[in-house]
Amino acid sequence: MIRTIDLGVTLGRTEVLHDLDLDLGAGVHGVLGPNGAGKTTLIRVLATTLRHDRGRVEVLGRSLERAKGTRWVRERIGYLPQSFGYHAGFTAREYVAYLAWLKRMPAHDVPLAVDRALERVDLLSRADTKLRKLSGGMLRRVGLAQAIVNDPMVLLLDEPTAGLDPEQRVAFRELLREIGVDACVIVSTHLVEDVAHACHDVMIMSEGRIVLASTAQELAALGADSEHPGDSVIERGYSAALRGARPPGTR
Amino acid sequence: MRGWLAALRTELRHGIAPWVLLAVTLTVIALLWLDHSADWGGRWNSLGGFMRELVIVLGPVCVTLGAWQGGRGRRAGVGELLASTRRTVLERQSVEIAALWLVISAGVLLGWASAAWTIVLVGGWGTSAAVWYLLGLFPAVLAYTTAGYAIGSLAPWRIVAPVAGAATYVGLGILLWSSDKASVPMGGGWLGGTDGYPFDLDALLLSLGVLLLAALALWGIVSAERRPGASWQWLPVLVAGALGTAVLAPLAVAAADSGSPGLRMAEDTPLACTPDEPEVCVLAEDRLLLPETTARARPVLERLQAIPGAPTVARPMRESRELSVLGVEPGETTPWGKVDDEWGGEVHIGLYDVFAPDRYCPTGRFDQAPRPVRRAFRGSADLLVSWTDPEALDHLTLEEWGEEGGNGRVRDLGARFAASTERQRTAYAGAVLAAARECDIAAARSAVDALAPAP
Amino acid sequence: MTALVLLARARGLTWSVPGVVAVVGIGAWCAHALESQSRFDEYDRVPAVVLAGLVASFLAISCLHTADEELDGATPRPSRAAVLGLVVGLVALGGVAALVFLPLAPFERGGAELARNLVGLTGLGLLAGAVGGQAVGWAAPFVWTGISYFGVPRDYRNHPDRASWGWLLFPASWPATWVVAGGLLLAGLVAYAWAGFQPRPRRHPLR
Repeated sequence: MIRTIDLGVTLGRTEVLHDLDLDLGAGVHGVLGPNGAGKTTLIRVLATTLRHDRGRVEVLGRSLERAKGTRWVRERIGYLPQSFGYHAGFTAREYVAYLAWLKRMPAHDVPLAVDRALERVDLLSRADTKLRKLSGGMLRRVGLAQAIVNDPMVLLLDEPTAGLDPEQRVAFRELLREIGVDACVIVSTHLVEDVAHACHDVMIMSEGRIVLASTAQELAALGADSEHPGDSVIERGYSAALRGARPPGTR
Repeated sequence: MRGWLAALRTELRHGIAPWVLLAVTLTVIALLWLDHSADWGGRWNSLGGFMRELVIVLGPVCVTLGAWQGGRGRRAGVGELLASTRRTVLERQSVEIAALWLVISAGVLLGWASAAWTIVLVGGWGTSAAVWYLLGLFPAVLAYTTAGYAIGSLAPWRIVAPVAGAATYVGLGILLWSSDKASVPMGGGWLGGTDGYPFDLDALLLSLGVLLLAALALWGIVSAERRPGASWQWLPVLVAGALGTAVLAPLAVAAADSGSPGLRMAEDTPLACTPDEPEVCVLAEDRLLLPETTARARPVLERLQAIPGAPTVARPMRESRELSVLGVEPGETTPWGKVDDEWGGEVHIGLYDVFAPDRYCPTGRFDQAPRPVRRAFRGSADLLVSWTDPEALDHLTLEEWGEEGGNGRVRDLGARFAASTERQRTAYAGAVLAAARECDIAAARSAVDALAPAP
Repeated sequence: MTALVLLARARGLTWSVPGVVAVVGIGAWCAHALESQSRFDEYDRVPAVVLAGLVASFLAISCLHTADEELDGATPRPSRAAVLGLVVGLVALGGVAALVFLPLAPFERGGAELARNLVGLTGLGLLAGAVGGQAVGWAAPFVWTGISYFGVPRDYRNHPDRASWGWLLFPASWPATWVVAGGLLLAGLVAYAWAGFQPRPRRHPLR
């Protein structure tokens, strides 16, 4: 569903992504990495909001080289940026409906789809509350709702659980697993636990490259006997993978 | 204090300061030089007065920049973070205001320097008024910047800055057009210091005081803190500003009522005069024009010398009955003080005042005098001016006077004048002059007897 | 219908559409008030006409603003062409309002100047924003108005060479001013269609 070949992105003078090759199908794919690794840039390229400089990107079989392909893809993806602005005077329902319309959902399908999306993120009871009156976590869930309102084939989530309490995070992971049955879900996150419990496979990025692509179990195994820092086996596995990717002599 | 200075240095280095400096400097230079260099060329006091008039542009610019600066913190979303620190709002805001004030003032000074340099080169004239005018700009800049900052703090959206600036400009324009009393936001009404009029320092200081205190009061309102355990520093600022404004404002408004600048040039107005005779004087600030004026006035004076009772010296023109013999109105000047003929600049000799009874008749202005007076003197005055000053704009040769000058009576006068000897003409001129002095219609009519009969 | 209402609210049309008409109306009222004073002539309507045009251009550009450029960029709607259509619609609305409220004859400095200024300043804002970002997009019309306002003297007829850059202050009967204003709008529309407004200059469109 998502393919990249030698994907390269340069922002200013910095090469943010180097020769990235991806081939992802249905399922929940986690992207881990330190700050500045290029996770958000990758998400943005796949969401068609940032143009790549080198290589080839295909989403749902369509190349992103041409504008027509890009528009087609945008109708079928869901995207939640790391931080997003919102129209404070809109209610949650209006906001999700507006985004649904922007994604060219048929008008007669929108009301039901909006209700369903809000219910899935447990916000139906607050559907008619203005966004300015919602807490940070609730806003995050509204953002999630707009990302899934069109039943996307590709769902791109950048730090989706920021601001959610533990119970909500559990519900969120359940939602991801449900969506990941048919769709390709990419979750960029710092929270290793999210990856451990929701993702089928994990990619660890560092300095614009993928340093490890494996399953969550394999990552845990990497950290099982190691002395790398971390409070859980998967965190230790993550640290081990990162350090293994760095040149000798550096931390 | 050291911490405050360190914060100020950071703000100057990394805020909008460099752009502001460039923008303000270029603005002032453009306004000084684009079309208005003649307004201040070669004269310190005129430069000061012109810079003061620039407040109508600088004020809105300061408000715009201040509003932009005031909204920056809220737009960047750091308000919550800053509110959790120990420093009060007043201390934090004072750094931002001070940085902007310093940079705008530097830009104004640099722009001023571009003009001042040329005045230094030609050795222009000035008094302390020039210094006061310049110094007065800095409190005005501070006041407008503070007011703009307060507006931006209250309404942090980007569009507020340009709209506030435009509104300030419109407001200042309306105030200026409405009356001199309303010119307090400009630093008082017409303040003098040029053209021989004394400088009104009180009006300037009062107006600046009102501006600063009003801006202080506004800042006090805006910087009121509402967090628990907040300092009440803003309260004395607000009270001092509000009280001071209330006390000074009526005084400033009264002082700003300049009305007419007055008809009489001050007795001690400095003049620059030729060392030799016949003496020609110009205002000290126009001394760069003395050579041109002398070249123009001397031939006229020499002719006048022969007329009994005629003036023998030339002074700058004023609405005064004691002074004023020949009027001198310099034309356009370039910054180097030369009369620029391309602009049509010329030294204008006000001879009409000599031969017409304006100065002497109790009726005052000639065009308000009774008709018989006007009829008696008009033709003769025009003719004599033309004869005395061959380079006058409306000069007619004596032959032309005989053919074209006015009505039949004046044509007859012109023909007789043309036919007369120089001695007869001089005698006629003396008789007209004496009649004008006494406002004597009969004597004016009979003066023509001194001329040769009509050919 | 609901979708269009949401679009109008999201793009601020609910206040920019009446706002453009109101600003032009207020400007026209001020212009009439100025010329009715005996000591003013038609040139003295210039401040009202120029400032009304400036504020109206801000309102026209404001519909480019969206709550989240990133999120809007990931959706097929609205296309940049559609957004530019909104801008052109606001400019047209303002222009018509100007011609209705401030009829041309028998004076100069009327509705035609206001309409032309709105066209040119909006184009300038679009062009500047596409090149330099949102902040520059706001600032450019304001700075240019200031430069023109003080750079073109009252006796503009003696300075015909300034018509090219001081078009804001010249009468609408000078064709060169329409060429410049129209050219700016066209250039601005093309620049925005190509590059969009860069909220932060992550990608410089010219590099």
